[in-house]
Amino acid sequence: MRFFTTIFILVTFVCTVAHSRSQPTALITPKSALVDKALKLQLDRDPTWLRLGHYHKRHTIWGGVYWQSDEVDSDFFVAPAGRENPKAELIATLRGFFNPQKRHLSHSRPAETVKCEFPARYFFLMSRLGERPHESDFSECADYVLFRDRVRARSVTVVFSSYYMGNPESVFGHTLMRLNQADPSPEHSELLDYGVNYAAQTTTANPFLYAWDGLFGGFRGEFASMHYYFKVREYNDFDSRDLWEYDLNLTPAEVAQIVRHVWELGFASFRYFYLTSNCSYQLLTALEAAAPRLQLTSQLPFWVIPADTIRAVYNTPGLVTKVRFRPSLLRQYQWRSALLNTNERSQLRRLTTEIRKHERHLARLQKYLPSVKDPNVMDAALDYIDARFGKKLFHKDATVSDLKQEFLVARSQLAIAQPLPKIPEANSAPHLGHGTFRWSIGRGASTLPSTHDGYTNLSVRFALHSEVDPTIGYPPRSDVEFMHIIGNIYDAQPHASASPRQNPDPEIEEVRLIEVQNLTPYNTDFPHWSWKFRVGGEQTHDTELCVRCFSGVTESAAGLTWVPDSISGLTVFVMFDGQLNVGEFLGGSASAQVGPLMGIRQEWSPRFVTEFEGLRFVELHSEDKILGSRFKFDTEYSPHHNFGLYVSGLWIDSPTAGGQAIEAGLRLFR
Amino acid sequence: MNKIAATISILLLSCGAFAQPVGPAGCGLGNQVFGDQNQVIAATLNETGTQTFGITSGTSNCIDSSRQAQMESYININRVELANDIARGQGETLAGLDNLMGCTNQTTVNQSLKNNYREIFPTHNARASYVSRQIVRSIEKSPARTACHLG
Repeated sequence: MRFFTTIFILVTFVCTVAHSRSQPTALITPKSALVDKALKLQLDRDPTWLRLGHYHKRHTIWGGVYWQSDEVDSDFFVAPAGRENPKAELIATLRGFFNPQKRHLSHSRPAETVKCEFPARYFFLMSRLGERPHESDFSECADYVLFRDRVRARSVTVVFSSYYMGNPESVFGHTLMRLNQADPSPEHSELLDYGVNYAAQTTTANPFLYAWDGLFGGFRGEFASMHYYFKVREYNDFDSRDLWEYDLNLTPAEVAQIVRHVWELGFASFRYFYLTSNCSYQLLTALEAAAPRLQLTSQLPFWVIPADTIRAVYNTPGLVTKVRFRPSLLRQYQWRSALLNTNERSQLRRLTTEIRKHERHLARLQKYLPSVKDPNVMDAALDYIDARFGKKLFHKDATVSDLKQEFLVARSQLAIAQPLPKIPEANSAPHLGHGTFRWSIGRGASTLPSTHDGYTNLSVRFALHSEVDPTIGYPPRSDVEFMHIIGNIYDAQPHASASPRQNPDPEIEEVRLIEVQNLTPYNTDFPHWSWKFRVGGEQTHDTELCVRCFSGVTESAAGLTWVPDSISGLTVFVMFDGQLNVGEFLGGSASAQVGPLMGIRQEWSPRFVTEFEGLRFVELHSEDKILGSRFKFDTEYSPHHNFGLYVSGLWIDSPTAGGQAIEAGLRLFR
Repeated sequence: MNKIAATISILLLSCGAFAQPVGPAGCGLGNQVFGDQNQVIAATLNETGTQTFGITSGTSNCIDSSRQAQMESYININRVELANDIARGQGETLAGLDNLMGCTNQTTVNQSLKNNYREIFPTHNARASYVSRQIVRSIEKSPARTACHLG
């Protein structure tokens, strides 16, 4: 307690003392003429000014155009109408620079003068006005100076936290920025650098409100800066996600301006839109505001997928100097155990078996531990405990923590091992991946009563990656689809149950709002479930109630995946599947099918993948419990990472519907 | 049903970019990190695994004002990896701590910390302030004491 008090007093003292000695800056242009000069130079319309204010051009419904900032917090504007009026904001900001009065801010933030609150604006405007601004102009801004000197940024890195199939909310990945310290010593640790993160400040635990607010701007998004180690522990260790780091080639002046703008953004808050104005988008706008030569957000469609922003950064000529890989904890364990010789590996296997067996009977393990003399085996075992029981350790589960402590004490009595050789890079660097938007065109032929005859297939998918798409840049065996709309144009009248029609119209076959399939291999070291989830709408094919009706659908499955070491590229999975179709059917409103599902996925090469899936189902609602089978396959060969050829098929056998459909065509990514 | 709803919303809100409410930030990180051991992480890395520590930069200037405070924050957040590294006598997280203490000859420092593992982490839940003190004490009584800027 005394410690906090000391800090508090210290900080208060520093702030007070520093603020009391405000120094006027020597100006080339007289103060009164600065605003005129700025307006003459039309700085209010300067793209950098507009970016610093996060202004965007908006259109009224009558066709008018006006400016509005994405920023919604009044603290971020000096002029009362600053959010909609870049010019008023410019004038108020310039005048504010010479006002020693501190502004009172909301959110319990300490009061600041305009100059101390907006150092990036100050630097930009003063440079344009020919005033040669200097960092020493901020000597009166104790808080900012403390922040700047603590961050000591010399360079900037954009960090991508990989897709995390084991944790559904992370399936699209995440990006943040790292300000690298100006410390060239070899002992320098990037863990102590500062990370800058943009995130929604959630206000509800209700899942529906959460989704609603996240999609439609109900949450505020705010920037935060913290030591990079917070993020490494969270992503690398706790979530076991790989991090990809992209070092940026920026001038020292740009880096300094980024730090100033990051400081300004600490007073800002935005409306958070999960699909557009999200973490990755705001990170790019922050970069663009500080380094106006960058054109990053203009490369993106109106929705923003984190991996696309990485590609926008990577594809900017000369911007990325180096890509670095920071492997997850799980990968570190796998690498450590891969480096062991046969004898050591069998020791490790014994040890991991004992750990699992004695997780609840610590005393027996204690007798066993002293027999382990090999530091490499011990190091791998420590990583195993962390990777397997990371969440329990984190929450200080007494049994696991005590077990770990026994290991650590034993480990500290063994010799220091050779340093771990560099862990090889995974094949999943996001900048190498195909574009997340996919559209496809194909021709199909069908004998199914639900579709029938020849048709042309058109589909668009807003994101992200299916299990047969080129695998480079994505986690192995992953499948995450968002807003995938599939339509057919039939050559003739499609099906008996539809109203007679001469002209072939496009018909929606399926809308996948979300589909996620997680095929994490099961093994005794890490006994993971595999699962699959899909929600959307589709035409029924084989339900007893209706041959072809558009219905809402949700499908869930859970089971196990097996990846044999002996056959390269093969994945086999077995799940129990349940599907519910809800719609206006004859004699009912819902159809439920459940049954076992088996899948085989063969990755012939990273650009050639085939997946088969067979399902045996029973219709639960039918009185005689109708049995049926569905078998489908999809194979895609991609000569280029943004272009693929596919063949897919569907075979159905049930008393109400039977037949086959086959389809082939092109898939394009962007 | 609730689970499905939760899954849907979790999927929709991916990007891993949702922080928990942290209330007024003020000069706040100190309280949040040191208030209750790792409560921040525990609270923010809850079952939905969403992300942590919504400290705005506008106020984060008040964080980590002393070496001691920085060390305790570092020990708290990096506890698992730091314990590993000290027991192993090497590693990135330990190097980060050495860096924080301004140690130049890290090999000697790391060796003496390793020798004193038991004193530094007597139990798995030793408080960060205790661990920090023990680390400094271990270095002070070892040949590595001249290699670091403790004080």
